[in-house]
Amino acid sequence: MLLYHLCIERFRGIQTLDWHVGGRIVCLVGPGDSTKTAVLDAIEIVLFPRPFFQFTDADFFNGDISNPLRIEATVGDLPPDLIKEEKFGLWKRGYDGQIRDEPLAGCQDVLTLRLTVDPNLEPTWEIIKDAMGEPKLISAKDREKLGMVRLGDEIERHLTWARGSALNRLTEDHDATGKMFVTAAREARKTVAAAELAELNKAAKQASEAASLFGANIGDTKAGLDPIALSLGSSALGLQTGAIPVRQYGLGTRRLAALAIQQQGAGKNQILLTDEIEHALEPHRIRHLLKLFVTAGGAEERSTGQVIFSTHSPTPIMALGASKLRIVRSTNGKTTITPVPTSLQAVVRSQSLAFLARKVIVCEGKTEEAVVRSLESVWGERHQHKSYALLGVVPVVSSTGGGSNAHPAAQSLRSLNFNTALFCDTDVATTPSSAELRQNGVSVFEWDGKMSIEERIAQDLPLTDLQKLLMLVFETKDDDGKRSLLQSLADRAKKPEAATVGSNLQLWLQGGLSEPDLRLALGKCSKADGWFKNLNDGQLLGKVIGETLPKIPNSSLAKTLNGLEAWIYG
Amino acid sequence: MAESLAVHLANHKCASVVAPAGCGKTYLISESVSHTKGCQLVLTHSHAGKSAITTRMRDMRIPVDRYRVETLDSLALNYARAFPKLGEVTKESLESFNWPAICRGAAKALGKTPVQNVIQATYTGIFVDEYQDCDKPQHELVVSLAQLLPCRILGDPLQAVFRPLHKGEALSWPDAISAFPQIGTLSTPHRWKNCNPILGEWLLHVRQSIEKGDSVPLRNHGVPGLSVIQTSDYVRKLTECHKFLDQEEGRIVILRKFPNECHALASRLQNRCAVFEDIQLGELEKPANEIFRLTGLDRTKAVSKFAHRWLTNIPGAVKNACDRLLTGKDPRTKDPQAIAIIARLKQVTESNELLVVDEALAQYEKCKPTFKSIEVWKGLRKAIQAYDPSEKLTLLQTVQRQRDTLRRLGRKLPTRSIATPLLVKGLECEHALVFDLDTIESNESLYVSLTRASATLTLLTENDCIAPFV
Repeated sequence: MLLYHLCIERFRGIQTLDWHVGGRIVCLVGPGDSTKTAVLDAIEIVLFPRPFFQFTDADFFNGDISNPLRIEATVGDLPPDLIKEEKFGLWKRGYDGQIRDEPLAGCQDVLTLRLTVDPNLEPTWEIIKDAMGEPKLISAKDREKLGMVRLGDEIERHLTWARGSALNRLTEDHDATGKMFVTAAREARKTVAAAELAELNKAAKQASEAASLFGANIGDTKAGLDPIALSLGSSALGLQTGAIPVRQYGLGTRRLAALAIQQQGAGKNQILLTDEIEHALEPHRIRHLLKLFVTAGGAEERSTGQVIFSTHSPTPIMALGASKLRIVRSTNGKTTITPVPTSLQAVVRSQSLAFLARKVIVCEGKTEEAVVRSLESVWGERHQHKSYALLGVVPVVSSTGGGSNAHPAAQSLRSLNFNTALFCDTDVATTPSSAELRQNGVSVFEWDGKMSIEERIAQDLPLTDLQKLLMLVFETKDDDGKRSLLQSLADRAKKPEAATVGSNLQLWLQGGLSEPDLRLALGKCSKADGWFKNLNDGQLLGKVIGETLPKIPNSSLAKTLNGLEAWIYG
Repeated sequence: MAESLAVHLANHKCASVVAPAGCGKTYLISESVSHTKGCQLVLTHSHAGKSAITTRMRDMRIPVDRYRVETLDSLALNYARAFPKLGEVTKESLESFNWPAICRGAAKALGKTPVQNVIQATYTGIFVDEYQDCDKPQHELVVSLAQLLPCRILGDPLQAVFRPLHKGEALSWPDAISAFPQIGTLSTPHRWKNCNPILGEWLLHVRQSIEKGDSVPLRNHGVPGLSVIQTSDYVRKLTECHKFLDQEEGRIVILRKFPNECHALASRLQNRCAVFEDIQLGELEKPANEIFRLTGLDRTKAVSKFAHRWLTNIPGAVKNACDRLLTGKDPRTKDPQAIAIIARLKQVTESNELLVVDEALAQYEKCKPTFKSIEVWKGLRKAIQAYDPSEKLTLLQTVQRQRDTLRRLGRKLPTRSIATPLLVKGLECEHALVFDLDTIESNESLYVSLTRASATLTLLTENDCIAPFV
């Protein structure tokens, strides 16, 4: 089974959704309240294999029941049973990236199921096709053949032989269990009957006598087990290790066991749905589970069935790569689900967190990222200590090698509906240009003059603060490192002999170096040697810059960073 | 013999069998189906044939999941409707039931893999009954099915009564069987075995004579159950019919050439028997359209016209009152039935609701009239009841849709009926009366008329022999 297209109207938090699924392994990613779970629920319910599903007013968008809620799923890889003429063979449609009313050349054969829930909360499952006019009802039994499995719900139940449980589905013959229950119940009754229950029987005798006074002759009575109380159900049978029920294991293990049993029972050609795949699982277990999903137990990527799941963890994002991710967004009831372009592959691998964010700051390089991160605590003090995490803000570096990818990356993230900011240099021309990005809704933070961030800092910070920064870096080095750092600065100031005066910049100026030359040298040197991005304690960097900004409000550095601050907390 | 032929047929991928009337063709199909695996698609032409095969399958206790009986037309319609683009069928062709276009469209759709998958997922083989009734488009449809599954055809060129109706699309028997090599001929007259074996043998003899072009004398035939009444007197013929209808046992049918003759005869016979209508319900077309389009008094007139056309034994008081009402006069009646009907008819004039028409018709039924054709009468009532303005169909289209439903259900010959040879072909009964043997226009109609009854056969004719056309 393969879900090709999903269309939702007025279901829970989704007023509308029109989604071409496009893959056998689909990972839904988005911040909280982006309706990921509602999407999974919708797929589950439209393919629901049992005759009843209890709907409530809350299943309607905004609780408004004046219009029916509707879910349409177009599915392929159809089981042969369902395409029989008397079933839905004549209802076949085609899918070739769009739904066609007939399976035209180049199309996959598909059926479109439609679930409608009217204001009386009465659900109707039908197969629809324009050419056929009236829809045709599809029974729960036939829906079951579609092989939809919601993995991981009702974990406890799936570890028993309860009706409809995964274990039960794995069991071929149930006759013996039935007999066993009857025998067990009879034995229990015998045991009770044989027991000496003097106190109980005394009360029973009193009861009989009292009854006969009222004219109800119930004869000699005594205590016995009521057969009804003993009607053992198959749900009483559960998986056990020795005498320990498996349901007493840890959540992660229970969940994996239930998943495994469910997947086993559903056969290969199923649609597996699961919410928050990472729930209660360590990263290595998540990775292993993903591998099972992706390969369906084989060596190659799966070629039957489908897995659709959501995640809030960067682990699956990193492990799966761009092609399997779908970004879920919800704006004013309109849910959109967008594939991730392969051009973002590098961001997916290195900055998986970005895909879970509400706001993403694309930083041109590691230095920009270090600066943004370092400012978190200083800025937080002015904003009720709100952390980036709370705000859903994630600074990411567009790529590990050089800064030229930042603009296209920001563009791509924006196209996925992320609230995107770009924090960048202006030292090279880019495609798309910053102006184009702004037009597309990206907030771009850059400064005047073609300068890197290090050069800008060296230009705008008061000398005393530059001295502090130099010392921060200086302290991280050993003696050789300190020497070579000073030498490198002196070389860039074109006064190689100045290195000998030490790290006090005042002495450098007294030695005849002009302040502009010193600033230029500091900029070049800090950029070339990667001073800031290699700082272990980014907080100190942020403290220096953050506390200095109010002192230099008209500098380009302060204007740009203040803008970024406003965007983050806005 | 038939049993081994059944096995033989079941094992063939592509074969035909010639089956004279009453020689166990439906039995052969059922028996052969029982020797196959999976579900067989059994195709036939008429609703009558469909119901005969279904009954036989049930009698032989063939499980219902082992076969599906369908008319070629409704199969074609189902596939052409479902896949109009693949079949390149226009909406107009579908809506106007342009059968040749529909069959060719279905054949075309069945050339495409997704549609072929449906047939192959559903059936494991195909039988086509009454192949002599196929026209060219239907033949093309069967040939396209034969590409997918084993396909065996059965038929009898001497029962090709429909061929003249096919005109330019008529299919000759040799062309039909060129794709399906003949592997046998049935020759045991089973239909007469229990009731009248001599009649059965005689009919085989008649068949051979017709094939050769020899005439068959009707005097001193010595066949029990065969009565030949040589007359051209209409009143005498009516008397014979009344006598014939007095028989108590068995299903009986009177055969006449044209449907309107059937209706005329039925009323002359005081409606002691029903007219077996064509399921096309052509008779409904005009009243359905009139009642749908007209309003006010005109609609009332159409309703009353329909009632008086299709009901007999309506009390005179009702008739008079209605006539007065429709000519704009005061109905002036004290008859309670008439008062009730007049009240309903007045509602029809006043209201635009179609359901009011049905209430009027229901009121007519309370007079306990005789139905000239219960199918026409009920057909209109059911259509009105099913009519749903939101579907934006006309009443006639609703009728047509119900016709399709009936087409799927199949139907039975009533116990006492008047019918044309065309309509009863494929059906059987115990007693048959051919009202005017001498006017029968073809060997095929002749052979079909003679071979319906299994016990007695009554022939009214001017001549003293059966003279085949050469």
